Amino acid sequence: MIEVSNLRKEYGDLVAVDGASFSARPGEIFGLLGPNGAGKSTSIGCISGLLKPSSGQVRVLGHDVVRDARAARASLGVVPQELALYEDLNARQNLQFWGAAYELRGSELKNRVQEVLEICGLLDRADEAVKKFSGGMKRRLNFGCGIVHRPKVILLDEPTVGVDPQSRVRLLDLVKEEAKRGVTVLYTTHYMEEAQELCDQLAIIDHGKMVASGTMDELRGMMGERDLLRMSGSFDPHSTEAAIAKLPGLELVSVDAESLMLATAEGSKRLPELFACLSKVGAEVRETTLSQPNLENLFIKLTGRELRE
Amino acid sequence: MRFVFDSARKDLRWLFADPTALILAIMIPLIIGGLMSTIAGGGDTAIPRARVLVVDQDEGLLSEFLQGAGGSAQGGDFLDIETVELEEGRARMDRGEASAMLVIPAGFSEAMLMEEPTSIELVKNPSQTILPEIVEEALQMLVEASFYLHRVLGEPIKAIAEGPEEEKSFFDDLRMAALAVQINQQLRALEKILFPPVLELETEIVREESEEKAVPQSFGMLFLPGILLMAMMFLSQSMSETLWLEKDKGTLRRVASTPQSMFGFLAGKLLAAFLLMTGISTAGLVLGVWVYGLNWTAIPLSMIWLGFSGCTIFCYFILLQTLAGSQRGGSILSMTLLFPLMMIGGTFFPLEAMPEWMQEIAFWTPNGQAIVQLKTVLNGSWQGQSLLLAMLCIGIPALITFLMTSMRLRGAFLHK
Ligand SMILES: Nc1ncnc2c1ncn2[C@@H]1O[C@H](COP(=O)(O)OP(=O)(O)OP(=O)(O)O)[C@@H](O)[C@H]1O
Ligand SMILES: [Mg+2]
Repeated sequence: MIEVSNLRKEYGDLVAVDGASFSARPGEIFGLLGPNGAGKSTSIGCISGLLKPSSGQVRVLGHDVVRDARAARASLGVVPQELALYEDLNARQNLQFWGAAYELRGSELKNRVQEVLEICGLLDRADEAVKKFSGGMKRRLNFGCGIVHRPKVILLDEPTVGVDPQSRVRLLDLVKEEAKRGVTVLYTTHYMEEAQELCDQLAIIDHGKMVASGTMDELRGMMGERDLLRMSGSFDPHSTEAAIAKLPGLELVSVDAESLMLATAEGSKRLPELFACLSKVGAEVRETTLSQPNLENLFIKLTGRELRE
Repeated sequence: MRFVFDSARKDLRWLFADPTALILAIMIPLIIGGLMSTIAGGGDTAIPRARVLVVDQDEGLLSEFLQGAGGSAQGGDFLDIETVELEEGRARMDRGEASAMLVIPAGFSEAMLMEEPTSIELVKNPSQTILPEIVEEALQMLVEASFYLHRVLGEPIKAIAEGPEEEKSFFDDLRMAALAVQINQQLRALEKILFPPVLELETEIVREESEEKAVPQSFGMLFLPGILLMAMMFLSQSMSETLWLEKDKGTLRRVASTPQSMFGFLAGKLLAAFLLMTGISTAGLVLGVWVYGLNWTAIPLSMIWLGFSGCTIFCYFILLQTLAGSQRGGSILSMTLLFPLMMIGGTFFPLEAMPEWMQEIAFWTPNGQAIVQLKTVLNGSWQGQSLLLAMLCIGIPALITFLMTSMRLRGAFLHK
């Protein structure tokens, strides 16, 4: 169980996380979706006790991460965005060390290390120095080091960045398995597809602010049954805006000199009248894309920006 | 508490996985020790003396200075300076009776004082390698010293060289006194800067004159403690750099997110350092028994003392690492502490070879304290009380820096 309320983290003048509130329950994968610099890693840092929140409260299994830091940290497993491994040691020694850091000892540690090596598909390379591993193998070991002590809460910070599709599927399966065992998972990503496939609950975060949250269905509902229409060409923002306003059922998402975004139900049927209207105000359309409701569209609708820019 | 052992084991595994640093920390002191041994003319205990013949055609200030240096407390031990006539000197050099011969041309002192171009002739004995080198080195230093002397004392020197004002055959008392005071003051201020290079010359060939192989006087006893402590210091420095590796590799952040304290994590590093240091010093001490006839019974206490004092120095280095802004910065900062500390703390040159005022400074360095006690342990003259006192003197400041470092790890250092 993770409970975050009004979390705020400032770096000088910059507000990296601005009043985030959410909670993730056992057996649930909670996704934190946002572009680069949105504040995902900062949130994870505050939850794992690495960063001191400027204000707000974070509780892990009921333990306040600031006042009851040790207990909170003991129940957490963290898989950081950047690899955190001893590259000169082998995979087994890495797992042994991190297991010991969470008080696993003796045969219990030994067996669990063996188990994790198997889970991560690294059994045959267990006694090789990590620096000889491929990027994907390091990622899997990085994940393994975060779960070696069977934590009840796992924080994963973009664990699949730079991983080939096969390893990625494998990693996502591992995360799902952990959740099935009743573990609370917080998963950050900037991949829509990953969030859509994996997460039971989702929060979309941009510039430190949570712009939407809920289950996948709830979020789709926010988008409505509406399609997203993206046009590029040349537009006069003022006259375009005025012209669109006269068309019922069309919602203007954003407009500038080169692009125009609209949300509407049954987009394909509205195209002819839209083109007519735009040519009347002198706009020139070079390319049009129409997409079905999905998270990406929701993000664009909420922030006026593409998720990956 | 058990995490301290886990952490130590991890550090030892890490070090042995890439033992370059380890090997360097052992090799450098060994090489330096080997060099000392060569200078001293192999394993025997006879003291080498550089016999320098001086042909003084100048009869000025410089020759007086040279003779003075040869007869002074520090120089006299290993420099034999003898004034000879040119012919006699050449003949003796041909017979290989001296390390070097210095021919000072007439008018040399004056030219030097006036900073006019002049030259000095050095004849080296080709059958000796190191002693003539040293003489040449010393001469080079003298030339440099004269350059700096002019920069600092130019005015009074010129005044003396030019002689008394016109129409007078000598300086009047007042003028003389003023000059003397001026020189004296400048020299005092300079003493600290000028002495170390001179020291270098002296100590490279320093040896106690003794025929018998009595342990305290032997070559081994003079240099072995320094070599051992040097290894401890190199090890401390290179192990302290793992802090930056931990930070850059993200492992420090991961440790910070575990329930373990940074104190325990760092204590593990200290324990690893201690084990490694006692291990290496044991090897060195066994070598000492074998080569220099050191007493076996001195090994256990010496080994623990070396491990302990090495660890205190490790504590200073880790604090320095956390104060630096980058790994490179940490490296430079700790190196800048390492070398001067070795120089003034009697690690590089034996304390016995240092001027008294430097011995006093050495007394205040952790390695200086360590080496003084180590020598008593090695020759069996140690006293529990003074050993304990020294332990507290170097242990308490180290403990404080250790605590400071462990506090900085989770805070300022982690978020750099
Ligand atoms: N130590 C720091 N000092 C100052 N600003 C920081 C620091 N760490 C992060 N920031 C700023 O905080 C904001 C959020 O950064 P954060 O790393 O949380 O983003 P993110 O969502 O994890 O991005 P990414 O997807 O690129 O990992 C960014 O604007 C970043 O520049
Ligand atoms: Mg991030």
